[in-house]
Amino acid sequence: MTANTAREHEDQAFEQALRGAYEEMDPTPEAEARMLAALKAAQEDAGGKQPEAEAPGAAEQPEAEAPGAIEQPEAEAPGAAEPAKSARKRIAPWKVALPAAACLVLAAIGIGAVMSQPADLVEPPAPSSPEVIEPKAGANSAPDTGPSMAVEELTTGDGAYLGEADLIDDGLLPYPGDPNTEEYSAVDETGFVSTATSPLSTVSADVDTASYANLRRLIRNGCTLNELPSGSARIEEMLNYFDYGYAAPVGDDRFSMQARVGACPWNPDTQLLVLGFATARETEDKPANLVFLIDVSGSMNSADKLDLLQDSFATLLEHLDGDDRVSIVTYSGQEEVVLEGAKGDDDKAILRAIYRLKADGSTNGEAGLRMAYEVAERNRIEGGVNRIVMASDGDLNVGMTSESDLHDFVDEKRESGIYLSVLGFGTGNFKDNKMETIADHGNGSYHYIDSIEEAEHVLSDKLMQNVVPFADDVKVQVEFNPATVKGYRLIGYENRTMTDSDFLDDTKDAGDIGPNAQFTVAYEVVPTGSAMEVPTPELKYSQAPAASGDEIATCSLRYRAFDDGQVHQQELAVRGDEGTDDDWKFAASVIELGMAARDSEFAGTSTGETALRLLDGLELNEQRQAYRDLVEEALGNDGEPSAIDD
Amino acid sequence: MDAATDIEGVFTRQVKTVYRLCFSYLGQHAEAEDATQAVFMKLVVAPRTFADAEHEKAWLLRVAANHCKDVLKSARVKRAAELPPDLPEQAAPPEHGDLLQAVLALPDLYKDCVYLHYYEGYKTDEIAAMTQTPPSTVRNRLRDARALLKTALEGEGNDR
Repeated sequence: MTANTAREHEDQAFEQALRGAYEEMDPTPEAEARMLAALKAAQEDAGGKQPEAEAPGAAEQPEAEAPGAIEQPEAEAPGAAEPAKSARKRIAPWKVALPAAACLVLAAIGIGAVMSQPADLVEPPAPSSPEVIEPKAGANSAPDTGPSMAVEELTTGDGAYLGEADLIDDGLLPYPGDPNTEEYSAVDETGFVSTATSPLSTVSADVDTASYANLRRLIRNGCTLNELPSGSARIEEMLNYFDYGYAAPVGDDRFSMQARVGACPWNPDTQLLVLGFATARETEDKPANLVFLIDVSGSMNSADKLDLLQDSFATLLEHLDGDDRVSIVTYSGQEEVVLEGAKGDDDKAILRAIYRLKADGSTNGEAGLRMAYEVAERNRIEGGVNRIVMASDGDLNVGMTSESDLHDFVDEKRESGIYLSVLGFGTGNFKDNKMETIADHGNGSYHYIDSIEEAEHVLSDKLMQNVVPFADDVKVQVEFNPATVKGYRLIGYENRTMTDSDFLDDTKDAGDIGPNAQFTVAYEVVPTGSAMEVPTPELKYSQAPAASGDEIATCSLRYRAFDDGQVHQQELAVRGDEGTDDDWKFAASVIELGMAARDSEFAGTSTGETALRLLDGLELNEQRQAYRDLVEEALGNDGEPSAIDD
Repeated sequence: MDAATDIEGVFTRQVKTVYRLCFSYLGQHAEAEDATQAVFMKLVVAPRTFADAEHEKAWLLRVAANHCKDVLKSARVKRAAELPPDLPEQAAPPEHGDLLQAVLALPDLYKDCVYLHYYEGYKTDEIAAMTQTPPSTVRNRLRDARALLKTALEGEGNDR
């Protein structure tokens, strides 16, 4: 026997033993019977509820229209295991939950009540209207499984009852039976406007990235593009999640500006203009006074919330040193200063304080915020950076709970020079709308953290970019040339648009940007020669536009630099033949995905597939490859997982 | 297949395949059962057609692996926060054999390839297609996993 043969024998024995090990894992016959019974019960249930069973593969979801009939929830199938409870009609739950969610939000704002359910969720009374509307209109919500009471009274318009299993299947319900009361603000898209009547478009800069990370979480949990709550897709945040190859600024400019223009991939009659802005890379290191305001309410008691948050903060500490000050304020029913003014390099004290946190109680965000501002004030570093980093699922259910109250409060505090950034955590009870409001009004950035990888991305990279402010009140104004452009449409940035006259008004607040940051603004542009009609009233007194070369627009950027406190303005003339590059194509893909996800009326030919096709031939770095994988996953959720297709 | 998937048929054909993979990820029967059921439930809620039993199996395995990774992602974070860092990883119940223990202790990265290759008999290229991983990576993972398993067994005192 050679050594080789002996080795083969050994290998065979090993492999056989390995197969034996797997067989040891087999389910017991009882377990098999339990699972099968539950599945059959679920199927019967689904069959009974779904006489018009669709052909397999038909992705079309029946549009439920008829309002009115509310069917009483039936008794649950007895004996069925948890997930089998109610696999009924598969309709994207938020189509049903929308009006209910709108009521929920309004009621929550109105009531602002405290309840102490075990999960510590405060929810208003059950919804009153079962009407089904399209996601575009009104307040938007992720599938609202809420406290089970509220959910069980939701029906589809045709009376089919939506149960937990629908939501579990849609991946939005952390299985099994965790309440889900996610809220998103509605997104009203800016349509095409005529260059003749409004040549100016003005937006506040935005470096938030939360929307993409949140979408990623929804998709990974099994959402198809059709099922994503439309308010959850904010295209500007999706665009700004990614890094682009924008050049560094040169000379005295604090920003670099670049424009790329090409045929719009989803509309044959328009062009896509992508504007990229990047700040200088190096900045002097200013000491930071950071107050971490951490939500420890009952709703944070989850692996993807407080636990993840605790692990995340260690990452941030790596970037702090002895000149920095760290304080920790927690809030639930009671606000508390857990740590005050610790040195940034005292990791032990900081981590001990962080890991000692336990989630319990209701959420009095207002009191927490007030205390955080007090602590920040006490530890203020003159000439340094003073910032509160709020970490929460946004479920502020006590005290000042409406968006407008919150933003008034944060607006008022912003005047004191204390900045506020927001980190969003968790699933199921995630209040996207509140979180974004707080960050926007606090001159801060807003990021969503769904995994430890994202925590590292945000805390070591994105947040540090934003911990040190670089420029304040950063505004972009684009003037389109009526000689070459008859109309245009701002893509995304719906809640960041500003009145045109505010561009030059330096008292008007706009977004702040950190060093080494980038942001991207895109427009769909209708050239004068296009077949597309842009409604333009006849203007009796205005002159016909004088031709001015090939320029389609001039982009102006205005900001107050943090270093000299002065307002600066930069300009960039954009020609129609700027051409495209990989960044442009990638941005186009992200926009297509965003429009498909939000079911945009301007989506044209955009689908997940076209978004994917735009990536063909691009060299994808790790971040962009992950994006590609995500799009494929979203498409896979629709039917076949693409990875195993033949 | 009809609009309503023949769930009993699919379940009977594939339950062990799916369950073992789930167990190898999750290490506990209760969790494996939950996961298995969630995987098949996807077919109940959204029936779909498969070209043949192989296609059906491949689909289920892929869904199961993804599901388990999701479950673990949150569970691991939770455990990391709960346990002091120097405590050993939670061990599988002692009644399991050494090799089973070693399989359960494998890094998650290796679990699907090891199961697909050594138990289900898929070839490297097939696994590469199913897991969207380059074939060379699959080969490396299999080699590493095999070394890990052998080392683990030797460490347990198996004399060879």
